[in-house]
Amino acid sequence: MATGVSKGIAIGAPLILHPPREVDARRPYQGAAPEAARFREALRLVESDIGFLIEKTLREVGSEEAAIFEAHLMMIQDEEIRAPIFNQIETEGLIPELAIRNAFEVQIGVFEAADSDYLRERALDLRDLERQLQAALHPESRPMLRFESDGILVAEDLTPSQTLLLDRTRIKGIITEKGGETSHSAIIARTLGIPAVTGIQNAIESLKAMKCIAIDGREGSVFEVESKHEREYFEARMLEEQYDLKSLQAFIGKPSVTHDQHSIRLMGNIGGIVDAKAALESDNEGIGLFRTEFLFMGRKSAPTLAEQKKAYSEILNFFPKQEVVIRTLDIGGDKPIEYIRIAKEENPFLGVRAIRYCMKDLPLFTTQIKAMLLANEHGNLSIMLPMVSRASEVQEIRTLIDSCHEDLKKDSEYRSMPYKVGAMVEIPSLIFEMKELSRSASFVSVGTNDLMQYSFAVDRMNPELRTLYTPYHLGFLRMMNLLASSAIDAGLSLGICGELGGQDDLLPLWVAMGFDKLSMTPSEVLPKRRLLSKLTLQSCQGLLNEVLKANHEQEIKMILSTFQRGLAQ
Amino acid sequence: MELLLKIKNAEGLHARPAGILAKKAAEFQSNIQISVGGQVKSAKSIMALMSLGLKKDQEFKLIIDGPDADNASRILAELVNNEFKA
Repeated sequence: MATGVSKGIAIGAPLILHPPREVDARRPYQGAAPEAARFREALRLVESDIGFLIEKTLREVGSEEAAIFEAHLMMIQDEEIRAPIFNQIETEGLIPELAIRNAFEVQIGVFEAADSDYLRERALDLRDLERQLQAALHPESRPMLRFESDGILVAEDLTPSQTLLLDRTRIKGIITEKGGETSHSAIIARTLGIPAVTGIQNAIESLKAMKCIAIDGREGSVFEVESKHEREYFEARMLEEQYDLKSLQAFIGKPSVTHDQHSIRLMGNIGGIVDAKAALESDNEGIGLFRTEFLFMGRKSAPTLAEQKKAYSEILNFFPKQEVVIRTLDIGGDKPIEYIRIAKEENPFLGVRAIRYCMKDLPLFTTQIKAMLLANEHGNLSIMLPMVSRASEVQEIRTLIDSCHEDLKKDSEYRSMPYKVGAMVEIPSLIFEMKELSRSASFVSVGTNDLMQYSFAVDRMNPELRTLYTPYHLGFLRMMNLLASSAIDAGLSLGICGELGGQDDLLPLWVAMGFDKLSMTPSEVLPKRRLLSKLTLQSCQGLLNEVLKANHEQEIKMILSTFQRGLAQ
Repeated sequence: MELLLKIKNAEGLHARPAGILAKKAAEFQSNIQISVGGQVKSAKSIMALMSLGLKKDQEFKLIIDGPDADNASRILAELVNNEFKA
């Protein structure tokens, strides 16, 4: 199903990102000279890709991060790998596809057999390099990540590494065949502030021959642009949207307040340093959710204390005077990580995940906690615990965190700074223990996606049940209201860090319920600040009362959209 | 010429230091090899250096043979002792 996942209009030529193809081992051998030339050309392409990545990383991240790509470049330039490949091509009559595979298998074998986590990690790098070389042998169908001109990216789906390599300056919009609201491509598009549509079946096949296409990321639609007239129509709409964007810039540096000066903090949800920069640029008031999973994924051993400390420091230092909420590792049986051993479960979403896993792997958990505490040089750290079902869990983990802090204090170089501990509200049972929770936590933040999933007993990925998974449900909104008043009574700071925190039509309800922090995709903060300026606390409370008296979902939706239309006038 | 050296940097001979060492060694005409526990490999290759998995405080030998061996041994020893800070 086509879904608009990032707002805006874009027009341009389709930039096709072909899916990687299988290595074709049966390709006929054309002779030593032409086959060696093919390999040389593939090397040249990959070298230039890595060179690009080095420059980009130097510019956007830093020299230490770029060093790993410099090492990659040296690896494919290394005689230990080149010589056997050339040898097999020129004297043994193998096609480069097989020669590359053989030579890499040998090196990968050496790295994998080593008694070192570090080298086993690097074996993954070698596999990635091999894939890049294999793809470069077929430049006509190579997943091109750099483009000669601007356009709209069309892909099956985007992997994290492709996202890293993409030349973002060229991409004006994204269309993917797979993925949804929370896919990698959707998140990256919203972070970059470019329009995106996902779920377009056979997008590559059907769009590749077109010269010019347009996408509407609000509606979730794709058009072929054939005539001058059509082009003008989309350009006019694009200008309108851009004008809107300009008017948003006026909200940078302004407080996030309603018309009658009731203030709410608007913060960013991020997964790493690139998003943190986007959050800073769109004037987010701190970070309401830093997902630490990406640090742990795609590797063969857990990140070390030093690696984690560095990653957390970067983010905490970006917002020295504002709160940065870091969530402890939120993984489960559905997201396999090689070194995290969770037995196969019937229901991974109801199983050993997040803190339930972490409390079973204390070395891993305390390393993460200590890294956060060590990185907390400005005293702006908040530690958030996911998947909490009862106050006693938070009590137990709070004790663990405090003992880590005491442990660290034994080192005279540790600068002890204040920190906060809080819980995510994703499991309904926690709503009824706010008072007990407040003994060991100072804030709660609602993970609305999971709270809906666990409240309605609906797997949100199941398309069959889509209509049951909705926030426009009287019971759900009453539950949110009860949660809010219980948290406020217990003296807890109260926020939302799920998708619903960034939704226009629901914002007035959160204001009325008394939420004081809303955390969202960084690029959503300015639009929400503008929206907030048009509201008054009284109008929000009136709306909430009306909604809580509604008879059915359709009516709730209608009340909310009528209210939004009233604001636009 | 043989040089007995010890890894001093905390991380050991990871990709970055191995890359720095290989690059520097490749600047010399001499044949330069690294020897650890019976294994002898080219010191001009980042893959060979990394695959030894040398850790902090581990000792290794550089075997340098060629016209610029004196110069090479002086510069490479300095590089290792300075923890690969070029």
